[in-house]
Amino acid sequence: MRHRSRHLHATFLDLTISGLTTLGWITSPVIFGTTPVTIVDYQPDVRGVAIAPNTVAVTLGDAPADSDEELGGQSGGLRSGFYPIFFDAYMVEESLSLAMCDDIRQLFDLKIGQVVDHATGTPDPQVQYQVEEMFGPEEPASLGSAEQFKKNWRVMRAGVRVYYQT
Amino acid sequence: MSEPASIKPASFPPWAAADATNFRNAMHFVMGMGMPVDAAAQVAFHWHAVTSTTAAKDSLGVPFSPTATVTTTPSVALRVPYFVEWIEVAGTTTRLGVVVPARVRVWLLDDDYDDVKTADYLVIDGEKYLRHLEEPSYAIFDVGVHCITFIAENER
Repeated sequence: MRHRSRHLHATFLDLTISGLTTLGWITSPVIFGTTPVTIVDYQPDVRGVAIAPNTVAVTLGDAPADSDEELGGQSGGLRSGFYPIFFDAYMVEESLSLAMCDDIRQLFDLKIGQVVDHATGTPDPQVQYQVEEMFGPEEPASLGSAEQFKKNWRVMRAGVRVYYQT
Repeated sequence: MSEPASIKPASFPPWAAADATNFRNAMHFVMGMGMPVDAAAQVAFHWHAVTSTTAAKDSLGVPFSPTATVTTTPSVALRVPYFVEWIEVAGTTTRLGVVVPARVRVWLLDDDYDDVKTADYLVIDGEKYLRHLEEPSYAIFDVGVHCITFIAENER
């Protein structure tokens, strides 16, 4: 799969939108009586966009080198790549941020699936993901631009392994 | 929550012998007096080029297919009357390690502000300044006044 990280990112964005819609965060009336949540594929402060709660940002972290999953993986065998995926929850109240993080854990913990090739809109059976670990809710490090949201800003971090055939 | 009513006093009083239109014309004249003769040295407001595609794309409008057709519409720069203040780079570092860059503050009257308020950056003498923030607006009776700060893109 060409541009694998982009397709993985978009796959998890789509899963987040569909999952949180099912859990009642997107369409009014929203659970807890709060305002509908906006889901974006970038960190607002990095892009210079004002952070408007309620918002969930789905972004990719730094990926290490791919590794062989079997002998001869680099020659027509199985390989894998590891991707951290961050879910930043900016909510109007801290308790809502915690609830959002818990729901994100429920959506993705130990889940497996196929990465969708967004150029064609179809899942690629040759490229599959497995959520190996979910960390959080975590309180992010202090950053000047997000200082005002620190108390309501929580992060979930998923460790996702993508398996593919060379 | 509904917005409270305005508490702004009435427009130019009769004894001021002025009105909003004449005041704007006078301010535009004064602004023009201070502008450089060379047009390239005058402030020009720019907008980023707009790209569009019918293919599946991400939030930045970049298609997922590397062979998708992308249409780019270049933006047009615009000049309007202004006052400008240039603030030199501070030469100090904050605790986060960021040097405070050179900035320009641009004052605009309300009708001119409406034409350029969405500008992404401005260019003065070939130097590019990115939109940073907009101060709370104020007015002189009926004439609105706006101030936008732009920061230098490249610092030496």
